[in-house]
Amino acid sequence: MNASIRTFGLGLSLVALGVVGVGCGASGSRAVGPASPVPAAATLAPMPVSARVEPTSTVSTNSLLADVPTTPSIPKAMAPATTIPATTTPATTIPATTTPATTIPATTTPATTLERSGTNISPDAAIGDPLSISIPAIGVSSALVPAGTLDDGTVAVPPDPSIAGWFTGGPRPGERGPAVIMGHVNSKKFGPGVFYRLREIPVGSVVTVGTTGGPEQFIVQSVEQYPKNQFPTEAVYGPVPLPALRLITCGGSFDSSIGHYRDNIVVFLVPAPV
Amino acid sequence: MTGKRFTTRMLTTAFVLAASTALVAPVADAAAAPAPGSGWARFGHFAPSQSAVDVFVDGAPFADNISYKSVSTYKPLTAGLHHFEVKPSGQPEAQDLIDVQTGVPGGGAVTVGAVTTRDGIAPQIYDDALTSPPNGEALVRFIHASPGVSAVDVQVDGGPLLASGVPYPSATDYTAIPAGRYNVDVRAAGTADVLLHINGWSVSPGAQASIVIIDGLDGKLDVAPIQDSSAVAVAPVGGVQTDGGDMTLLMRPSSSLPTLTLLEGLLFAVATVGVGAFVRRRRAVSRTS
Repeated sequence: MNASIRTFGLGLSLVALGVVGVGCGASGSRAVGPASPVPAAATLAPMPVSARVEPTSTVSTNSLLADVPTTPSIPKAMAPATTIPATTTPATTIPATTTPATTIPATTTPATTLERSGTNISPDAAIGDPLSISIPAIGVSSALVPAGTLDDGTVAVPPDPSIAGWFTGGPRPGERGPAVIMGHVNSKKFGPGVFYRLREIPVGSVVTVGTTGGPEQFIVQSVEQYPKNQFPTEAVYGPVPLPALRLITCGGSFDSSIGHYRDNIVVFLVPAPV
Repeated sequence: MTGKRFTTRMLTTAFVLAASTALVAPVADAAAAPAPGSGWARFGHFAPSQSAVDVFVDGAPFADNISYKSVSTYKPLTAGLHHFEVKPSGQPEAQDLIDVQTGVPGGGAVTVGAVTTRDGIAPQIYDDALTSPPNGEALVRFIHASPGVSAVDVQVDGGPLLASGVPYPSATDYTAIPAGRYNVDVRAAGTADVLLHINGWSVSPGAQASIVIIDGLDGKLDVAPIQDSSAVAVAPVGGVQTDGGDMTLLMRPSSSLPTLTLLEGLLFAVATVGVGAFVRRRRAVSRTS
């Protein structure tokens, strides 16, 4: 008698929990055991506030970048022309293949080849490794951990949902090209992740990345949403002639068959005026 | 009959929509910037006869005090035609040294260069096509801007020919080369005459660079490196799984409470009482055992 009442009560509490929505996904299942098929999938709905954000090409990027300092990236002085290669040999040991001096054409071909150092033909001065990210507009303040790629070629996302990751396969934030910082939208175990509110970030917001060489500031230019299976690889990782930053998290509806959200939220940023 | 015609029209509309989507989608994906209505432009001073210059675009200051052998920082411009004027630095009222219209492609970039000619300086428009190099490689091109040197070949020392018969003044197309460190020869075109030997030229993966063949400040042939753009060296595959499972229910916490029906509320109350009874009973059991 007592036992049956107890079972009845527990079963009802499970139903109630499912309806009220205190638990979700696997964390709910783990807590109450396998006998609780909480019908989460049936109540799935698009995430709140995650309305697709239209591209905002109207932002005046001119004014944003108007004061970016000029970079005379060309080194002032290459190796002096007087650098005679060490391979120059004394006249007495000129190889037999060298034509006699008397037959040298009048076009005055120099006896030694002009040499220049090519060591300066390289990317711009490196920025320090990124350490932290701060987005006051959405209350984000996080350390940054390095994130590479997995064996299957996909991004290795940060293991801790409360900490954002910097994609080490790209430029550092502040260097020329598309730097990428990603963060979890959520975790079924811990709830909202570090970039849970990223989809709400207003255009024009300031994002500061702390690096070992000082802060690098960026301005949000646009917020986009893409299906993961149509991820715009070229737009996100492709060539950019200036420093750029992309912030990535998940969004859209949830696909319970694979346990992931269907979309990615991608925020495009340009350097803040200095 | 009317219905059939309607259906046909709908099919046509659907086809046109599908076709336009197919046409538009790849373009949007190929753009390096999210704003398809703008591109980038910069100015390159490659004219040894000219001192520093100021650059105006559409009448507004664009770049200041650009000295020989340097380029200005890229700046975004709306896609379309723009009017570039180049004047001696610090002399806004002076006559234009260069007065040229050039198109800026949406999502693309151009360099407006100045080179020396017999009559002074002249514009050169270089298309800095923003394309991703193959994985782990770099894209390089050569700009011949040394007025005293006729056409050149460029070849990796003991390696592949990178450019041949490059006339003055002109730029080659971009060539993909594996990232690494190279020694490169610049030769008079079609000959074995090495005009310039470049030692230890480093190329980073994902980089897009221009090597300007130019007169050095010492009057002898030199190279000026210009970084055009940078991409992720090996772009990751697909999207980013920055989620940890379904959060739908957690996303709507207390807001769903008011929607409880009377029956649900009753069930919840009963369940709470049930759990409470269970807990009390378990306590009692453990106390007795």
